Order: sequence, then C-alpha cells, then structure tokens
Amino acid sequence: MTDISVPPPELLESYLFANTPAYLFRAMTQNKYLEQLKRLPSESLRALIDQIGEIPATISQVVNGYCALVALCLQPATPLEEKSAAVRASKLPWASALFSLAQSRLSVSTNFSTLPIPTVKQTPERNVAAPSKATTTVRIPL
Amino acid sequence: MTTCKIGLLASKVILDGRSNEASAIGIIDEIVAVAFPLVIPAVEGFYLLERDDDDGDDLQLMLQASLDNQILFTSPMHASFQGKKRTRVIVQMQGLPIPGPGQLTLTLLKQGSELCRSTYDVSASEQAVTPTVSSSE
Repeated sequence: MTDISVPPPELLESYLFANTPAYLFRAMTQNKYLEQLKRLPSESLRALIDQIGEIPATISQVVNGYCALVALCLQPATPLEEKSAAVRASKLPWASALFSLAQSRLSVSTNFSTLPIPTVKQTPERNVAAPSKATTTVRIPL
Repeated sequence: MTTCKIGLLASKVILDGRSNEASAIGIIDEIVAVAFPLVIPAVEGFYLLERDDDDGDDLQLMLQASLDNQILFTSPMHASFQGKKRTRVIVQMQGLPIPGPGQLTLTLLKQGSELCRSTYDVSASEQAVTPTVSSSE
C-alpha cells in the first residue's frame, strides 16, 4: 500500500515540467498512484485538496492536491455538485481546467457502423404454414 | 481489459444530439415469423464498452451472427474510445437474414475473445397472420 501523503517522484517531475493542464492530466492519469487515490472516500480527497490553502505548501503537497483533485473528479460515484464545490474551493490554479478534462473523460464517445446485407444461400422451407403472397412479420411480444 | 456493459438488439437506436442520450426502440428479445427464410430489413445493435486505463484507444471488433451452429455472417467493425473511458458502438445491420427456426446468437468479438453474447429464440408462428380490412361504407 502506497503512502498517500507522498506522491511518486515521477509525478513531481511531471509537475515541474508541465506547461499545460493537459500535460499534467495525462501524466497523472497514466500513473497507478491515481488509481489508488480514486479508491479513497471523497472526504479524504477533499482534505488533501483543501490543505493547500491553509499552510505554505511544499511541491509534494501541491502535487498531491492536484492528484486528489483529479482522482475526485474521475470518481464515477461522486456527485457532480461535490466535484464542482471542490474545484471552486480549491486554491490550485489549474483546478478548473483539470476538472473539464476529467469531465470529458467521463463522458461517452459514440461509434457508428453500418453492416451491408449479408448474402444467404437458402431455399424456402416447404412445411411452414404461410399464406400465398404472405408478408413475413416479426412480432415482438410485450 | 475491455468489457461490455450493455449489449442489446432493437429495431431502432436513437442518439439525441442535444443530450447525447441513447434510446432503443423496439427491443428484440425473441423473433416469431410466419415463413422462412426471413430477412429482418433493419435492425440495430447497441453496445456500451468500457476499458481499463492500460487499454488502447482503438478497437478492432468483429460482429458474428449465427443460427444454432451455422454462421450467418461475420463483419469487422472499428471503434475508438477517443480518449474516454467508455464508448458506445451503434451498429446498423441492413438486413438480418434468418434461414429458419433455431437460436440466433449475436457475438461481439475482440481479437477472438468474446465481449458480448446475446441469444434470441427464433420460432415459427403456429398460425399465419392474415390482414383484415374493414370498410366504413
């Protein structure tokens, strides 16, 4: 079990080199540390986010705050209002942008496919009762 | 690992452009016909797929339809998660041929492994359906 108070060093490096929220978001979501944070209750994640504004924060705490914010935003069971409140209360400059990125990740994409009519080699059955010139129907019972 | 959360067959699957909500009209759970072979002129499948973070963005899928042990058709499909965790695949089959009674199976495959399998009983109607015309003259 990883200590949630200490983010992994590669995330600290990503934070230092990050020039856009998208870069930081991608680095965080590719790290298994975020998966561990996502399993925490939302109250614990709020506490990690909120501590940034109370004390002079170290880089480690800031990174942890960002990770907790993204983990909270990616939790499917946490209500949207709670996520929005955490983002509004956060002192992290990229909080709003990371929230938008997380929301777009939670939504669903759609793919459309059209399959052409397959060819069937089949002769009509003779023993099925049907009127001549019958219209074949599919009935869906209630 | 990619998993299929929802898989169904319906007469029509509609995607609301404003809310991005999907609706299925006329969900098919069995097929009763008065004559065979039968071709259902338009039928649509809806699949909701979810991936793990380790999975890739693009999927090569195969949709296979079989009646008992007879494979009716196998068709490749492409799906992209577009960076998201879940994706929908809405597939329109322009005619689903059913040669006779039996058990119709629709299987969604990813690299040979089964993502979703749904079965439908296909049976012949005991009596033919004859249309009645009433006149109000």
